[in-house]
Amino acid sequence: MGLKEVLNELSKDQPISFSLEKKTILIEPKILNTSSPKIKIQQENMVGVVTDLYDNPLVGVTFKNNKTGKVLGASIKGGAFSIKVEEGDEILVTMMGFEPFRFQVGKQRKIKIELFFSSSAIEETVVTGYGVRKKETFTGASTTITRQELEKFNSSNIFSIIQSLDPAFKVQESNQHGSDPNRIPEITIRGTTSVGQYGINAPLVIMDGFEVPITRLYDLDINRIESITLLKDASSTVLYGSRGGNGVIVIETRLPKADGIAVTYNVRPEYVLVDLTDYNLMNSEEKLEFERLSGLYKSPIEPDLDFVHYSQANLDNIYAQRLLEIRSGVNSYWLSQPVQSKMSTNHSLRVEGGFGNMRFSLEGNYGVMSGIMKGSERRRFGSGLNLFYRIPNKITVRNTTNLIGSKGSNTNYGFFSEYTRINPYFRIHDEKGQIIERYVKGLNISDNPEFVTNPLFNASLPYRNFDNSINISNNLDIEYFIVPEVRFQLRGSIGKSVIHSENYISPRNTLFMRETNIRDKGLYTLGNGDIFNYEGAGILTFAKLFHEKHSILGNGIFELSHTRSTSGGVRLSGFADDRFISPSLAFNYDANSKYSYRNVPERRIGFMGNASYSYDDRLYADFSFRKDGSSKYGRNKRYGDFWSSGFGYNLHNEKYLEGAKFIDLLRVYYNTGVSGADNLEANITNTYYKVDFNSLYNEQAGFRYESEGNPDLRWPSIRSHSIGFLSSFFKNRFGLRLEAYRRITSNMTSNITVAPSVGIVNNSYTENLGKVQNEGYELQLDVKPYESPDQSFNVILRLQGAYNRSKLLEISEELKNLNHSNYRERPEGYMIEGSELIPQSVYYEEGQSLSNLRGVKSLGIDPATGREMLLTLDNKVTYVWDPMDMRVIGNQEPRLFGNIAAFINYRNMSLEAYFNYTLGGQVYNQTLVDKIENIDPWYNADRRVLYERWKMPGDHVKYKAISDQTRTQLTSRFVQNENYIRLGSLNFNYLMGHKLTSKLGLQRLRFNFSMNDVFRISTVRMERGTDYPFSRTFNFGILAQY
Amino acid sequence: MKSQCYKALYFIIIMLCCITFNSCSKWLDVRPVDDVFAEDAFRTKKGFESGLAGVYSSMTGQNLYGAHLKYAILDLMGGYWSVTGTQMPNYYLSVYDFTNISSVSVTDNLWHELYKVIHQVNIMYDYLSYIPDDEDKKIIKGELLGLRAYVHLELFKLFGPVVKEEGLDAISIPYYLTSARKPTPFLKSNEFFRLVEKDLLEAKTLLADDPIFKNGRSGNGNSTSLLNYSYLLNYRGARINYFGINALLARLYQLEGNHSKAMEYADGVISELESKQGIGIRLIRESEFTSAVVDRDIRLACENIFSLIRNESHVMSQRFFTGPSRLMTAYAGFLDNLYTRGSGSSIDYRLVQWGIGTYFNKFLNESDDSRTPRHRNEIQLINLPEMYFISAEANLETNPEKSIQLLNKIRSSRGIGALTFTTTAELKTNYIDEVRREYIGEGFIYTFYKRLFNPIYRASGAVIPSTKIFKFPIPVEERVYNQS
Repeated sequence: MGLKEVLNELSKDQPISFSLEKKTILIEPKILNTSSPKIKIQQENMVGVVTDLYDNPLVGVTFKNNKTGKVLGASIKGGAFSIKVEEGDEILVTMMGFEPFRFQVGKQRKIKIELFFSSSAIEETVVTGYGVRKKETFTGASTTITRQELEKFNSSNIFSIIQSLDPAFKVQESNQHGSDPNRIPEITIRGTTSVGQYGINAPLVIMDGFEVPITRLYDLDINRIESITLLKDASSTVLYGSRGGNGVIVIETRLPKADGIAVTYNVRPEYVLVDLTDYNLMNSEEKLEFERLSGLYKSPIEPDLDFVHYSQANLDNIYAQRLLEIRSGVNSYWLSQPVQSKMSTNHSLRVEGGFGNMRFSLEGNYGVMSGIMKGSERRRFGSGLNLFYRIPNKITVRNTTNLIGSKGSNTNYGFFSEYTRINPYFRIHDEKGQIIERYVKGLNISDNPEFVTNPLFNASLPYRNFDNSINISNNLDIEYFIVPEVRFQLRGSIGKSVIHSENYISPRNTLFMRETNIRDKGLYTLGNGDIFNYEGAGILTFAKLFHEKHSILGNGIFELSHTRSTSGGVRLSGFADDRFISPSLAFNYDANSKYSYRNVPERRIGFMGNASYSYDDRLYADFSFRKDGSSKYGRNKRYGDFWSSGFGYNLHNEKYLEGAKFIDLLRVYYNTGVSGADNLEANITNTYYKVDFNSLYNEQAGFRYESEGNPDLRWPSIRSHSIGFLSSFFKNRFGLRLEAYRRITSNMTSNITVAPSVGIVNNSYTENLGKVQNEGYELQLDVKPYESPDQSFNVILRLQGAYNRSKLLEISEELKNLNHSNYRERPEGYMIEGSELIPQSVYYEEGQSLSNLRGVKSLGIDPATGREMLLTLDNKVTYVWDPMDMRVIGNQEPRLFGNIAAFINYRNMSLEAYFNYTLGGQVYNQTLVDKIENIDPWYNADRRVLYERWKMPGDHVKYKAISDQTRTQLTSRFVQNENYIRLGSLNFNYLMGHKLTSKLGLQRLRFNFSMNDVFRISTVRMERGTDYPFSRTFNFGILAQY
Repeated sequence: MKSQCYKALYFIIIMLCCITFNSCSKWLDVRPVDDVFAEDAFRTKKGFESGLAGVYSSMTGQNLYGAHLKYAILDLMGGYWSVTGTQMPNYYLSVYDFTNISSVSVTDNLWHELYKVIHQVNIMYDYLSYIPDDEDKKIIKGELLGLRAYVHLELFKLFGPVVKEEGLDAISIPYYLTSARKPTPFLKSNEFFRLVEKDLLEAKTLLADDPIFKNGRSGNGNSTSLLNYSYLLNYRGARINYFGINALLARLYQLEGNHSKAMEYADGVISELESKQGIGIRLIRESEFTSAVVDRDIRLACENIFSLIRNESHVMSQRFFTGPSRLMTAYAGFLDNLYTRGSGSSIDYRLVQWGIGTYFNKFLNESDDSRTPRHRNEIQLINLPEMYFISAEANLETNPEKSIQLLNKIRSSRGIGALTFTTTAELKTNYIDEVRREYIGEGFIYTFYKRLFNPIYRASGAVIPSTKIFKFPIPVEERVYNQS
């Protein structure tokens, strides 16, 4: 007889009840069936079970009558409960670690309740993808995001939601691509682990136990997600061995609910607004004035031979004409031309239900993520069918079919930067309202003038530019309990993705203006891809509790996966008429192109063992080992070993802290281990040849030597140490989490250069070389300054901070070479041309950060001459910029970054605000360089060009002389400290009260309003979104459940 | 009993693990379909055949023997073409300015590309143990060693020291014996030559039964059956063969300054080929050189001991020899003196047939390509006249009569009269002039001058020999990455 049965037996005829919550026996007054005589006869018994979302029964859940404030009882073994209710009562169901749940008593007398994990709770679970672990005895760092939290955001950008909830998850903001919905941002978890051509920093994404590409997560409907777990350190990423080194994002999709049928519909209208506040361009009058100051209308005294000489009178005339034009009101605002604010809608529908042991759900979604460039958008659609069969403690069978698709359409308006450069004194349309095709650049009296194309002309031509992708997959998951302690799980997945892209450029496009042959005009690029994969895993789990205190959990896992990717593409040219767009109308293949084709198989197997032990929920430890094999590695080095071990200590469960009632949670943990990451192709580990027409010798096809392989290449390994402190006090009024880590990536896969006499293609091959270290900490502080006694009103404040410093410990030749980028160690003839600009890129130096900025140290602009004063490496002042004087002049890694969030919950309403901040990072302000100094004065530029550049001796300014047309190279003058704060999202949610909902015949009705990227305050004024501007998003959402 | 049971169970588990592990390894053995991996390819003889074809084919590229090591670069430096001005491609190289950026990219590329050929050979060489020891393997190994020696020697001729001036102890270049991805040290010339010699002597033994004896230089030793077709038996003249190895040995000893040995090998090749006419390597006959345009053997393919075949080679040469900016012979006032005055003659077949005075057409195929016989696509690497010249040079002072006799053999096949002996100095001049007349367009003369440390005759006047003008610079990268 188990303990619970004994307790039940004991309390049978007593006015108290015992219940077992964790390892504690709770004694509560029993709600007797024949209760007090005051209770009216209408009172009836309501019975049911209460579980968490994974169907684990919950014991000790309390039921309270919200009207009377009376505790009605608690759930017992198996999650069963029985309470006395009256029709119309509002029952509040609460348990620590779960969201409180309210329901109205209707006619029903039998009910199943599923509790959501609470978002701000302490006791959570960790979904590792190979099972669910109790966070209480988990030795690593992880973050779990529940559906409830996701729902409140109600945004279609899942990445920014995760970033708002955990700053360790970093979305790299792309200054170039802005808010392009078809651009999948780069993601890192806890910093950059590897660099170079084969560096990969993207985390692994696991959906329902199987790896999916990050784009699948990007396109996934948020309504389908039950939970997102970020696994951040070795204790859990080791489960993914060779793939987990950069962190793992584990997605669990929703399971169908039991009992009856429920229909949920969610509609989310979304409004995107153009954000051009970072642009500060000259208007036409200012522009002309700038041209004049630049000396464009001044005739050179000694005419240059290569330059057409204009007389001053002539130039004065042109200037006067332009001024007249401007005075007549020509001031074209080009920036607004390619963009528009747009409204779009997302729909999700879910039908779910269950009968007996069987449950199902069917869902579908369709939506458009609008881009603000005209013609740019991403359509997403998806559908899922879930079948779920379960006999508790015997067998669970789950089958999921998923369809996820997207169609990304790209703008035909080209790059946004074209619109920021074109002169405001050009008219967009002629008198007839037709778009003017092109403008003469500069002075329009030359015989062979240079032209500036009106970007709107190309945009007006017929075009096609999209890519489609669709994926269908089926997962089967069978879990069988051999004996209660031993469970065997078998799962498999099979999937196929089809990708198709088309890009058509009209023959009339100005790109082809210089082509004389009609066969070369117009371009149609077609691409196709096909990916087929299957994956399978067998998991044997053993779990047992010995002598009440010793709990052991063991796992044995075998898995294998196969992927075959096929891709092909072709470029066609020669289109006569752009009214008809079809690849079949092409004259020929584009010059020097033919059909490209790749067919790459990839196979992987893994064996894993995992054991964890916990003593009385106080001390716990675990150890995991994984062996991975991959077809990508050479025959000699096919397998790699990965491991982790960790331990933790729950101080709050200790006897000596029992007296300290204010402590809810006090835990420390430490873990260390090795995991891997790579993005190799098989041909890196093998020398390979091609056989084609070019390798024909006499009559025989020969092998054409293509690439040198390194069969000794091993997996890069990421050794990490992670330590954490978690605490919570005063009934969760105050919580503090501190986590720190150090990760060392060694054996990075890098290209190394060899002496040309070795005779290797391109003089390079891949080798395990180079070491990177990442150190950092994360902290989270939760404060609940106010909570009303009935928990219906509370205010929570959260501060999250993260710090990461990367350091290059060992450098490969490849990276050293990147530093030199062709101008060092070269004979004189190799000196770079004066006009060539060296781009800002990382300077790889041992002991330095991976995100530093390089350039020559600047002392500012000489007030006497308007020229820049520079400091050489040996600290001499000079006017001459020499690449040899470049040094590290800044570090982009901020001192601290993270989120500040505030939550206000009042009954059914909640308001959340998430701010992202960054402190202490440096940025190389490209706008200042490109739009103030290195400008062709015939193009438009930043307004500061006119007001803040040096004009006369004695000017103390930041920018060099207006008439100085030399190129400005990398200098520290443009490095600025960046501190910013951004209101990332503001969410308002209202869950309609039960009374109203019932009246409408609904089970649940929720309204949502959220705003994203509301504002951004930064110490750096820089044009953001050069090719594609940034946008703000407003979401409205209604969720109704029948 | 129980423990036995456990033992059995244990055994079964171990077995199962082994089986799964092994089959897993097999299951993991998949590769992208459109690449040929060395690991898989060189497990059969067929793979080596294709590999060799790949090496030969890579040598026919424009940056090697397709153009640069022939007319495009080396003969520009040898003074055959008229230099029109700085805008001309490779102008700076033609004036031996090796520091100009355009020159550096060419010489760096030559260094790397030639060593790349060696690396390809060595990759195959390191896989040789995978194929069974038989006659075919001997040929394969012989060709690999021969190629390795040939290309190393070519590199030496360009980048190595001037032996005559700097001696055999001067530092030369690295010699690679394996495909390991490590640089090997720069060797003294003498050490370098010993390695070339070793490879050549081994190749000579391996190719003792070269199928060329049976099938001749251009024959095909395969029966009509397409099964078991071996490309090794087809057109031996376009692969490094037994005679090629011997000729290379002659070349090596000549380069070293060992004239007696050079003569021994050169004479050996001459006499053996004379006695075995069936092989088909012989001096050209008048009728073949001067017959109708369509049929003539304008590139003197029948004299080739070792050549390469580049299909549709005229496509490449047309780039250089047609059009307004084509390479033009420095004829008037320079080559005309060479060909028509002194020991020359205006009826020299070479002068007439190759259009030296008019429109240089040695490498242009007059007929449409479908009818082009294969020998029209041959690229000469070592030819029979070179053996005559090696022997003649060795005998210049010791046995001038023999020298003259050898030179006259060549002259008669070129349709010009015999020479007679006057003085050794004049004989030497006549000898050098004969070589100059012979090798126009073949990239031979620059390194010939270098070996003799002879002035380079140019239309603009003779260039004084110096180690500076004769040594291609070692690439900067080599200095940086090869400090062994």
